[in-house]
Amino acid sequence: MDTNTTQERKTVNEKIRKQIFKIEKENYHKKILNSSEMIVKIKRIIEEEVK
Amino acid sequence: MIIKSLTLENFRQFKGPQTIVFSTDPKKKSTLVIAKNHTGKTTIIESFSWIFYGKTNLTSILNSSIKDSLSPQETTNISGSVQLIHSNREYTVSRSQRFIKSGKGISADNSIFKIEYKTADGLQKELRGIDAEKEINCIIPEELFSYFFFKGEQIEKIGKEINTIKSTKHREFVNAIRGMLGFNWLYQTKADLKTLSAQYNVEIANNKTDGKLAELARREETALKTKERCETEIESFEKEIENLTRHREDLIQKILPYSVVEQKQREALKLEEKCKQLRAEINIGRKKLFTTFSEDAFALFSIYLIDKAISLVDNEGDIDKGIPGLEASAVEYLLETKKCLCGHDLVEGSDEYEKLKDLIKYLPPNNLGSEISKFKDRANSVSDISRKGYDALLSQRKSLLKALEEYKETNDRLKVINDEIQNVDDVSKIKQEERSCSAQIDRLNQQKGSSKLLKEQAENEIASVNKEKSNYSVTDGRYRKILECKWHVDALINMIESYCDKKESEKRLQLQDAINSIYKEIFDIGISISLDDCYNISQSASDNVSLEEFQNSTSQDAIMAFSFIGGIIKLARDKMISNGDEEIENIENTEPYPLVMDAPSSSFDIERIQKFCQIMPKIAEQVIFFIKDTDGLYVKKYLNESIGKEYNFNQIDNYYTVIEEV
Repeated sequence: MDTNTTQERKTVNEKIRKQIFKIEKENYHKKILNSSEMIVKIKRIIEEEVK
Repeated sequence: MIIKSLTLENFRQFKGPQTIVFSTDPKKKSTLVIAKNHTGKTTIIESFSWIFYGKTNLTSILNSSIKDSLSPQETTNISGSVQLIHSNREYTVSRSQRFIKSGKGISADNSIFKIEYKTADGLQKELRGIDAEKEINCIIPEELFSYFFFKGEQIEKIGKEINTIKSTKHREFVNAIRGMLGFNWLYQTKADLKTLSAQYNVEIANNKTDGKLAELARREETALKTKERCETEIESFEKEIENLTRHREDLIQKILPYSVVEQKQREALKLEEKCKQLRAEINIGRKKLFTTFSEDAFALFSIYLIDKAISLVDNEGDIDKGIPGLEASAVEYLLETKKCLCGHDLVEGSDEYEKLKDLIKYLPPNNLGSEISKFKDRANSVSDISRKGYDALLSQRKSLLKALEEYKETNDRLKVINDEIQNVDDVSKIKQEERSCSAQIDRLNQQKGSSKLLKEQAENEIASVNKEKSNYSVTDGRYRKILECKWHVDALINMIESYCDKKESEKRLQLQDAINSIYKEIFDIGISISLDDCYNISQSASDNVSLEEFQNSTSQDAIMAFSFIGGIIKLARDKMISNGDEEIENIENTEPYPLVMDAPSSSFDIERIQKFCQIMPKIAEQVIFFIKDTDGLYVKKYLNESIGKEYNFNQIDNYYTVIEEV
């Protein structure tokens, strides 16, 4: 993988991280979703960001 | 977590509903409850444990006077509820239990535990059962309960435990501390990501296309080669068929004018065949005739003579002149005696004598008639046999002659036809060639058909391979995407792990510093404390201090316990300050925690009580002290300005304490 792709990957990873951390932190306090539902949500976030 | 109030009803000494409202004022964060021994200080700590986890060290929680007053089958309820604030949300945690008096005594139903809170959008939510249990463990982990809710008699035990944290529940203890330090949600995120990573592993295994595309390429190449070979073969077969078809047409054209000759040729062939058959027939006939002749030649030659002999015998009239019943010996006797039966003399040479003498020839045993008759019978028998043989011989001869005649006729006709077609081409040969040509065309057509079939199969294989390839390219795309997704998941897991390791180690150092700082403030004797990775404590003494001197000190264990939990509370409420960690910033949750202490100062001297009362309100967001009346004055004096609420326990009788606000 070349440098550009690596940088691109890092950018995507950062976007994913921010979204996941936000919902995980929120859910930790609000307890809206159980772990399985959270995993589905995380998976959706990742697969939307990864083209 | 900040505790707003505690309400108990019929819980031990606390008959009827009674409430303690705790100070939540940040400036006056201490609530002081002064009570005599056995009035319910420890009961209050136990009530928290019962409400939160349904567990208590008390032998009975039902008020004794109520218990005694119950009639058979009468029921009563115990309940307790705690109003608290956690993560900026207000919770009501409550538990109730029904008791019934029966013949066997008092029995209790299972307690009912529930947590009520308001969601961010203002909706009232209620949790029960396992959900409520999970929630309370997030608010205040059971493993750490005894650290936040100190009971005087347990302080030393806790101090010892902290000194030698080797309990079987150590993993839970470490996790609980991590949670208190604000890492729990991050650990939850890591757990979720790890589950997702495992799911991706399964998907990767299911979508793996390793070698499949190469195998498809090999199959396609083989099919293409087969198709190409079949096309070449078909082309070659078609050319050959075309040539042969043309040649066959030429041959047919050649044959056409010779159709009459061909007919004669066919007739000649038939005649040849017939001659051949007749020759065989004649040979067989001859052999048969010679055989019959050699076997029956006697009959052939004797039949005439036998017939003549029979005819002669038939014409002879003398052969039956004998007298029936008379034998020759009787006549000879008469001739010998020379006397006839009638008495007449027989004179030799007389007519009678001579007639009788002649009669002997016709009488048995030497009478000619019977011999002739025998002969005739034999002759007739021989004649019959001979005639049959003769007839067979004649018949065979006749057949042979007929065959010879037919052969001659056929042969003559064949000679005539052969003479007629002797100068003409052999049409049958041409015809034969035409037939061979036709057979070759048929064979080539069959081969062409096989090649076409193979070509079709190869084309189908190519189509199938292309379809599979397109499916695989879709799968391959999905596969690559899964790999990429997994990369991101694993990268996040690694990041969380390294971040948590780094931050936890920082936090551990901070905790160690905080413990040392608190410890020193209360009991500055030159002992320093260090924490290992699993939060195990070890102590080391400066050169002029003997560690052994303090290791079995009750107050030292109590101070150690307060320092430890004080350190955790301090760190838990310290806001995370970004120190250049750009990867994760402000991601940790921080939470204030109360210190609820039953007789904390019982093992302290006045100096230690003073220091303790000065330090703890600084560390904890909320301090709740249950103090026995003898220490009450000192504690009240040293807490002084930080007291927000103050209560006395008024003991009405042994079974009834009233909580009174001062």
